[in-house]
Amino acid sequence: MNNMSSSNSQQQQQSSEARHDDDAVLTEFLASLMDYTPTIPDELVEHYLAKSGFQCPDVRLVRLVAVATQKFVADVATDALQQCKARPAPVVKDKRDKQQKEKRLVLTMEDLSKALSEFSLFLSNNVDSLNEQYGVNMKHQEYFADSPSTGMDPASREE
Amino acid sequence: MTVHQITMKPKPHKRSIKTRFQKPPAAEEEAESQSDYAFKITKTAVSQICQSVGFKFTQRSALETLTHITTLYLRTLARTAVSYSNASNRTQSNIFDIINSLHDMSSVQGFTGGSTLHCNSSSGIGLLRSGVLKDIKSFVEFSDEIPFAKPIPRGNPISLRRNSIPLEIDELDSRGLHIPRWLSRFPDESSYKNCGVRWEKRREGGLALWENSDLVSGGNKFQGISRENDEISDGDGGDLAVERGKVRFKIGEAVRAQKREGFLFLFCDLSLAGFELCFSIRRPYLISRSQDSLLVLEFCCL
Repeated sequence: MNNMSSSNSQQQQQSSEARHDDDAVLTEFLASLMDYTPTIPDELVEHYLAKSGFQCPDVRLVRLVAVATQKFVADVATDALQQCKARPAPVVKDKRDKQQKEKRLVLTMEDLSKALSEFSLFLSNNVDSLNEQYGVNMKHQEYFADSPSTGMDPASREE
Repeated sequence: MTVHQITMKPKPHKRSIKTRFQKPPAAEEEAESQSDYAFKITKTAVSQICQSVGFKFTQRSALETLTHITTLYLRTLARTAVSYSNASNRTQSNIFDIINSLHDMSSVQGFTGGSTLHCNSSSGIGLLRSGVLKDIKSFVEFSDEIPFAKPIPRGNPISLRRNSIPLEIDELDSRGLHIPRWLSRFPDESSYKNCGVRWEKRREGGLALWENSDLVSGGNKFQGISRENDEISDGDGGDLAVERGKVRFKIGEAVRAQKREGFLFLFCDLSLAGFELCFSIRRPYLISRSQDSLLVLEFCCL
């Protein structure tokens, strides 16, 4: 019995210590955000936060939201880049092969939609199927991923 | 500047009009509305991120789609955080709301520690040890810092003031600290101070009848009655302002009263020896309650 209680108290002590550590880590991380400049500017984040009714005077939280969003975009873009690289290269025997390879790195709708589908975001022309896909509502605009004119230039479509 | 390297390529082949990102083509509409401006800024930021990832070119539609999704992500994140803070009776959000909302957003892909998230929820340890937060932390540590291409001028205070309640600084000082800032100020003092004076006058003029008070009658009726009272109180107490003709009574049946049950009776406190004087909308009645059977005395003005 004594053993149990002592081990219990030890556990509690450990957990409180652990919590203290977590607290310290979090505080440190938030403090480091003060020195970090996210690519998404604070002003923009504040604008959208205010539009959604988000109130917080703390700059660090705004930065945290900015960093989280930046990470999301970077993840999607990295996925799209992998899709882009994974596609078999068109066989071009040229001296400017290196340059060709460089030029291949184009963010296209095809790659983007594949990347987004891994985030459970499905681009589609059909508005009904777009409803609420995990938080991000895509009802707002029509997208071209599934339409036959995917990746077509509007100018060329007219022709 | 490295930012300028990323270009928009509308189409992989044919008519490859490469336009510099910072200079949109003339066909593109000018940023007019506020949201359009915000969209353009987001677009620049997103293209910067895409460039940092390794893309050299982008289709315009793809970039715009990604920008749109970024905006939606940001707004959904904020909205979820707000709903979390509102659920715990707060108007200001804190870090835990944001972490919770981040968990919600990334719950589809899954994240480290997601299964044990709610085990220690009471102590908050689960939130502090969040895997999502750790991912963001490592992202901050290991990714290059790319500041936004251009400094953005701070939002004009006019647009902010339009939505909020205009409050002068001296006014904020003058009103008590216990009044939250978001509460609107009182109406002009004259509006409620005059009101008080009017009430005082009425009290001086004589005791108002309960039947004529606000509780019984509505706004318009009240106005009329109070004016009448004022007129009456001008003369000697209780006397009529205008002399009236003689009154003759006629005894009718109770049936007649039943017939007109639907009428609205407005009682006036003119009780004379067991009689109550009632006015229907159409014609005045005198009702006696002294006897078991209800007698209705129709009275006519001559």
